Amino acid sequence: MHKVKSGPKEDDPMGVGVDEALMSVLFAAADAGLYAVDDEGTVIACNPGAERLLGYAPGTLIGVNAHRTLHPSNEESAAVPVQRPILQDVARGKRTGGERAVLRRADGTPLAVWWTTAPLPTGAEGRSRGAVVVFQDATAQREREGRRAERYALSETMREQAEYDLAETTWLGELTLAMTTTLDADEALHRLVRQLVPHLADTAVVSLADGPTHSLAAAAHHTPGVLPSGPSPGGEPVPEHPAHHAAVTRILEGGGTQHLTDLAPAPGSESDLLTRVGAEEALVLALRLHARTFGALTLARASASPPFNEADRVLADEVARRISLGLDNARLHAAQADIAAALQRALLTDLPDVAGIELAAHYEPAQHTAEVGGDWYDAFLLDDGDLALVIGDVTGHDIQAASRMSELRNMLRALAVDRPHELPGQILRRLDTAQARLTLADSATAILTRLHRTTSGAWQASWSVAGHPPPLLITADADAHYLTGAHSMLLGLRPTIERPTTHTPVPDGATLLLYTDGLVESRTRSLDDGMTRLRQHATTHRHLPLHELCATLARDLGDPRDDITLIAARTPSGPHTNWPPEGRCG
Amino acid sequence: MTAAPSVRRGDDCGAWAVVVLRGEVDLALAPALRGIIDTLIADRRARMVLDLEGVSFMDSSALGVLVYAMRRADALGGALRLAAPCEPVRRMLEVTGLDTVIQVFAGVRAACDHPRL
Repeated sequence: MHKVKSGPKEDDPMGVGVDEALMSVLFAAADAGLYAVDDEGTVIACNPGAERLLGYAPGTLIGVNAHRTLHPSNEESAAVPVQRPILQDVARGKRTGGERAVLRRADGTPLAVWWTTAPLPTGAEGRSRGAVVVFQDATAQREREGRRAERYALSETMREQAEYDLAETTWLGELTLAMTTTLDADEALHRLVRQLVPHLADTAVVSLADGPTHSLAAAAHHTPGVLPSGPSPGGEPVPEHPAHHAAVTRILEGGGTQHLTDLAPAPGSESDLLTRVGAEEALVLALRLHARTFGALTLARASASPPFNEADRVLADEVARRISLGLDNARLHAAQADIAAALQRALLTDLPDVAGIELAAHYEPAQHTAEVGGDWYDAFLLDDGDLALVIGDVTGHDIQAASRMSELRNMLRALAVDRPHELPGQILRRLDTAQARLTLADSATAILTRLHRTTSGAWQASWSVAGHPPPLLITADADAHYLTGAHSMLLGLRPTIERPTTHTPVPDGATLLLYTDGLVESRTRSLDDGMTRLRQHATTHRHLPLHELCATLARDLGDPRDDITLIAARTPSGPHTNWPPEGRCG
Repeated sequence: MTAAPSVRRGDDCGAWAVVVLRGEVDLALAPALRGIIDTLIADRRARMVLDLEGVSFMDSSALGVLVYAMRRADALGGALRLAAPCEPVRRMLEVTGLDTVIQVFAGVRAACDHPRL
């Protein structure tokens, strides 16, 4: 602490009776500037902070007349409110202060400050002996306010633009389409957040409730690549800003919209999502429908963007409402699809034991339960020991498709068992008739195969295809190939058409594979490519045990977005063993 | 890049009502397509052309709606025709045998101009 050399050293100008050494430490350590003036306005004491802020060399502020030197005249500071000389107030014994003041630095430049002052204790004659002034640099705060004012000014033009956009309503329409053109909630949310930026925010984040906690479901920033689009698979989740975490938690507890302003980087967590995108403020809205809270929508803007205004908030509320409707829709659908999957599993048959024939089947419901549908496989014995193998696919992906699948499957069983000596084509034709008369299903594809032994003991397959991808024959010592022929249209279209049947010898140790389109066709792969891959893959893995072969093909080739269903039968590899069966004559 | 999935009524082409499909036609879009078909049938507009030019993929739900539309059109003495399917969709029509009961044309104009069989 510097003191004027001729000042009233011994009579304790601060009048506080505190140990001088302690005072010195406090004065020196204070971030703020402090100086004391006598009743003439002359600086009689100051701390290093005051000298530093005002640009005076150590010791040179003492003796300066604060009233004349530190306070700019009105002409010099036209932009700031007129400052009343401190001493006028102080002289009346008032404690005073201000948030918007300017002090003149040693080099003449203005310094924006907030300040407080208090009179020094009065002297013996009852007259004020001066004042102590505490001030702090307010430049950063002032700039921040200035920026905010600019942002508000900018927001007016933005609001007009927003109203114009709103009038178009196409954007909201597109948003709704993004939510409703898929029943897969994850995909819908990813589409949606991409549409929210930069229209409504610089950054959009959807957090979904996960029990009592929540997790990031989708995020988008106006510049692609800044943010991961979702939680990285197996990787570390993106850290969450503590203020954002608290806001989402409040929403999950039933709270309303949270408006986060002045988002500063969280200490020690510069990598959190909101800090990464330089978010200045954020609206966190509840995704809620009928008191069910799905999560929260966060809309964040950086400092270069205008703050959220009333029109933005109305729009944000509407967006949150539409997302909630979409999420509820997906939830209801998933619940229904779960039932469909359970029903489907229950309907899939236990495979019969057949002498000499190895059987395996594989069913993999679509990854997203919304796509689960009417695939089925079946295997049953006909009364003469022949084996019927069936694969089918009822159009549609819902609980109705699953129940219609069961109708068709049971009908086909009955028709096949009833007249076991009919050819597969004839049996399918009767199924056509039944389906058309009883309107069992809109349409379905199927293959009916009969695996039987000829009088010589060799295995033979007889089959008929109704609009389904062809069977694959995988022989032990040659390339796999598709069984073409006996192909006709899907079931129930034309009850009067004749359906062909084709007979093919099945060598020893060969595998007959039936499958649904989920194994060979996808949104990104054509049927022909898929069939080629299946043929090659089946050839490569033809020596695997049958159930492993089915699982491998499903895993390596299947489209996880669709149901994948396979059934396979393998003939014994030895010569015609155990034939004819005991008690029967070939 | 595939177009966003959509379905809408197009401009009529003579006596034919045109329905324009885009993108992947699957479970999500099937109800909307069925809704448009139902509206047309209710208006006794049983001559329908589905413009498939922008369709990259059809799943079995879409297939079901095609069969449904064909049956409805047939019942009213009309017809369902398909225009401009891309190769994957064409293959699906072939495998299912739908191309033997639904006529397929290179474009909407050709579908509307073709005389009745």
